[in-house]
Amino acid sequence: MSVYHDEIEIEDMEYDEETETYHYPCPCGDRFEISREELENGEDEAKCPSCSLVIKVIYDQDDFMVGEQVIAVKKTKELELA
Amino acid sequence: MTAIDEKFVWAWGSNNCGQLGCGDCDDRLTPTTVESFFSNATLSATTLRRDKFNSEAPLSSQENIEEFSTITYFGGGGAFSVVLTDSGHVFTCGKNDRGQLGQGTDRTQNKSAVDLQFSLCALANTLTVKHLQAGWDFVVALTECGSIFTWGSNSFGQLGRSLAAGVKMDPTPQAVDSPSSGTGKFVAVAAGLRHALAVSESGQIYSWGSGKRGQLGVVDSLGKPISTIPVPNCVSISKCSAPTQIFAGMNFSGMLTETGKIYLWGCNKHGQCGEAPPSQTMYPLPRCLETSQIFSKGSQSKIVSLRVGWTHVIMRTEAGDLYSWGRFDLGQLGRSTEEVPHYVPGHIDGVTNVSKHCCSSEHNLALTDEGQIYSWGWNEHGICGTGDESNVLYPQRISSLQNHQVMCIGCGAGHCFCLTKKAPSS
Repeated sequence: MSVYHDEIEIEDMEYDEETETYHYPCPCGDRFEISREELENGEDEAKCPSCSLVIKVIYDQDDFMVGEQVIAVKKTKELELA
Repeated sequence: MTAIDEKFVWAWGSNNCGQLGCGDCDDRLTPTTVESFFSNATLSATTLRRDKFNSEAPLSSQENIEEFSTITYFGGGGAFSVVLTDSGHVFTCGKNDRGQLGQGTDRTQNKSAVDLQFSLCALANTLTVKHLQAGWDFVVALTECGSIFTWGSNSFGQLGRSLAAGVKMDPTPQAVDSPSSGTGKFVAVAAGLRHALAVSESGQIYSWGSGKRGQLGVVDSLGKPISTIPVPNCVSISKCSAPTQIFAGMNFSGMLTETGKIYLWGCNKHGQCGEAPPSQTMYPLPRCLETSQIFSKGSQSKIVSLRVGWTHVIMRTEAGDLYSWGRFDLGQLGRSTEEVPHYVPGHIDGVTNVSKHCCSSEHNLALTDEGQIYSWGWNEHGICGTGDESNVLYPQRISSLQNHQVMCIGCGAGHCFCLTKKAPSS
């Protein structure tokens, strides 16, 4: 069995717009959390702030890459100009 | 000395939002007395009613509150707790971000709302609760007159009420919608992580909430599970006798019938529906579990109770023996999986003469005829009450309670409660 307590699809997680965080129930009573920013950076481990358990988040990275790609393109252009 | 003074509430395990009712947010690795439970419960009941119903009004309801002498049920979900008294009153504490404490709108202030001590639910004075169960962040309560009240999160239609689109929670207990077929009274309720079940007087099972993994037991014309059903809906089970018990795990459901047959449906990722998981990860319709092979010769006994964790099942027989199946990686099953595979009901050798048992998400409690508690399974936060955090693979007696007569046990997602008769010696 994998080290992950579970593998959860992003659409099964609840999204908190205020904190821009996706979360999912952890058996300890707290919640596994992963921020939108972390997803944009390609991270796929949602951690529980209260315990050692970790879940793997199944998601399509392309859905979260838009912002980063724009920055990447911009940086490339800046480099070209320099 | 009244009956209340002779009883003690104990709590242990995860306490990140004050769900143990001890007035703080520190985990407890061993059972700790919730010193003020009975006095605070009575006080909060009085105060709440004063606030709510005009301080000049006679406190007739307070007299009613003082009638309770014992606790009949402990339960809870993710970081919150529910307690039911013999007078039919419900007390809650812990996390309240989705109104899961059922204390009305005025008490749900903000997202970090927590209540560190038990206080009375805002159910109408006239309602007497007979049984209740908590899902992850909602509660389903059955009243003595046979109606169902719900409160808390409605993100997945768990409240079973036709709320306006976009209403994701309700901190005020209200009745679920009556199914169009007309059910008469309800006689049982159960709550899973994001779904709920109920049984009507006529033996019909109803389900509502999230159904993505088949836990609602209802499929569309293509045979696919319906992802969300916001109001109670019939579960059709052909050729079976009347249900005597229903139960709801994380993403699976089940029932026990009068004739001792077990039906299971929903997610089978960990073999919780009684089949080897790789062959089938989901059963969207109820199916009967083959039980003829479970009992070895001479040990056959009537099945009397099933309780479920998130992904495992613990079954109790009339003789007080326990059998388990489903997820096993954290010791949830309390037995070896070498002889009997994890997806097949297998006998738990470590505890006998069990009179009551209950499951949290990934651990279990069993109460014996002698009033002793055994625990096993996942033990982070000290959920097993052993004083450390190593997983307990086989039932182990909670030694710190061995001088006490335990009367009632119960669990939330990652925490436990019990009620003892004798005063703590310390």
